[in-house]
Amino acid sequence: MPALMRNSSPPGRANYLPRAVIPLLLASCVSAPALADEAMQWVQKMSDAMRGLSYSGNFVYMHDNQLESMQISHYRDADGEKEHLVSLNGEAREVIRDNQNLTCIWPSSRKVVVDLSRKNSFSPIFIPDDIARLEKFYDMRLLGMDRIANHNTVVVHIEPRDIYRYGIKFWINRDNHLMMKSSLLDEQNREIEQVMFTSLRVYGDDEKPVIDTLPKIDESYTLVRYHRADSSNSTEVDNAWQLSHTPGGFWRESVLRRMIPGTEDFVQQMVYTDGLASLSVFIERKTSESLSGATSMGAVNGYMRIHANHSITAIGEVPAITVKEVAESITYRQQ
Amino acid sequence: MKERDEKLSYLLDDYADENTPGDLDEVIGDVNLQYRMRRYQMIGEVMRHELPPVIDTGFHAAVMARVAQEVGAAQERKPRAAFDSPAPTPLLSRGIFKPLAGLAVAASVAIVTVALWQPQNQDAGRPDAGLVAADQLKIQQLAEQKIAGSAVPVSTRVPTPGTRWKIDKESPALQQKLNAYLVNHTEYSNSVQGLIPQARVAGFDAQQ
Repeated sequence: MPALMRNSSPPGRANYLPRAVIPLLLASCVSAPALADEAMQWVQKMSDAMRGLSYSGNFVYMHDNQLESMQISHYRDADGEKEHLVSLNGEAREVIRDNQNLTCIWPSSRKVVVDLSRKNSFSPIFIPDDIARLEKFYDMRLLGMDRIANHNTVVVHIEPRDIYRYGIKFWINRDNHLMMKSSLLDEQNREIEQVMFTSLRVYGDDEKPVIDTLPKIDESYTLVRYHRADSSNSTEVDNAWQLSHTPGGFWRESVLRRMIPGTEDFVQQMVYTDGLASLSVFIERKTSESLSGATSMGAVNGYMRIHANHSITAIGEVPAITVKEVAESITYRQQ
Repeated sequence: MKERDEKLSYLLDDYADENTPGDLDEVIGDVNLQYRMRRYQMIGEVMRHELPPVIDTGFHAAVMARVAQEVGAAQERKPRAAFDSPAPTPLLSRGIFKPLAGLAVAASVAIVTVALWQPQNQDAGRPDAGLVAADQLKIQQLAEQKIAGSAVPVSTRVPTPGTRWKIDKESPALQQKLNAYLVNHTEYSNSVQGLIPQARVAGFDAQQ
């Protein structure tokens, strides 16, 4: 069976190819590398569209046998990107992000948490700068076409080659390249988290969605800041913390150190990636609350461990074995 | 008015008793009451998630035809029933309102809801043009209503599960810490997962 037609998705899913599209895809996908290139190009277009276009819409988020509906508004103008996410079920939890701040609002507990927003941290940046390395870990291919929320989409399947990462499917809008649906797949190819737009509006160059907070923030809200104005003086990382080996081929992408709110202690965050998936290791001084063991939330796994009088926590949207092996391999090597 | 509302509510809740025929006569003779009965039924359908995709605003005509049919049949049965069976027949519960059996609409809730739809003119026996127009307008408004950013309803009855970490030892402080870690992980990593990372953050448990 040609690589193009291989499909591991369950029957009844997006596993068909309209006749008109087959020659088009075959023409550009004659070999496995070309096929991966094609799939990667679609993911690259999706990444660019999610960051560059102005849009608003409702989507559903499925995880842990729960279904939530959310509303997103996103635009980009001369000042940069701004994004607003609201939970439409129960409490109207909000996440507002601009170039400076990441603000989370919990109306029922009347709490506002403000953190520094990482520049360009909106929708993920996909930089396929090392396709050969990525192909060591994943098999990427086009599955076909599907219709989501009345939009025609191209389905891309990114399948892991080992047990250290999840698979993912993207349904990418054929016209504007926005992601209409994504599905995270576990080691048994089961869908563990899904996001799907149910309605979408894309704005032209001269218009944008109105982004405003729903609750009126007043003095009754507690403001929690996760950074200090002078934090720039306190971000020197401790390079003695290292991985003794790199499970699953993950490499360190970045490291930063920041003050823990309300304390004089620091937490160091080290981000590891394989080019698509990522996990973070947080290291801070051990406290009475520190625990050892595994935890999870939806597709996100975590593993906590005490080492050298510090609490080490690995968290990421990767299988449990990955966070465990990474956390276990962290050591402190003084220079 | 309140007594009549309660009677209607009981009628539709399958609590009809031997007074039912009299109540039915009142319904048949009062068009406004027919509209109110339709609203009660609509409330029940909403609560049971049985509302049809298209609301038939001419439903009352069909309802009344069925009511008349049931009343006729009941009147034919009534003399015989008086001899054969002393138990009263819950007329409405067997006819068109059978689907409403078991509907546990608290009378207070129903009345409060219906109060929002109260007609201005309570004259019985003839159609209330203002009421009909108001109904049509309201239904049209509801059908076209969009979720407004300034008016997001918040459920106070059902606790939302939100997102929680599965930890052997329950610890709010640890939940908070893990949430903060996840926010930072989402911010400082480049996982290519579409909107899922953002959705996770917005889905945090409200109580944490």
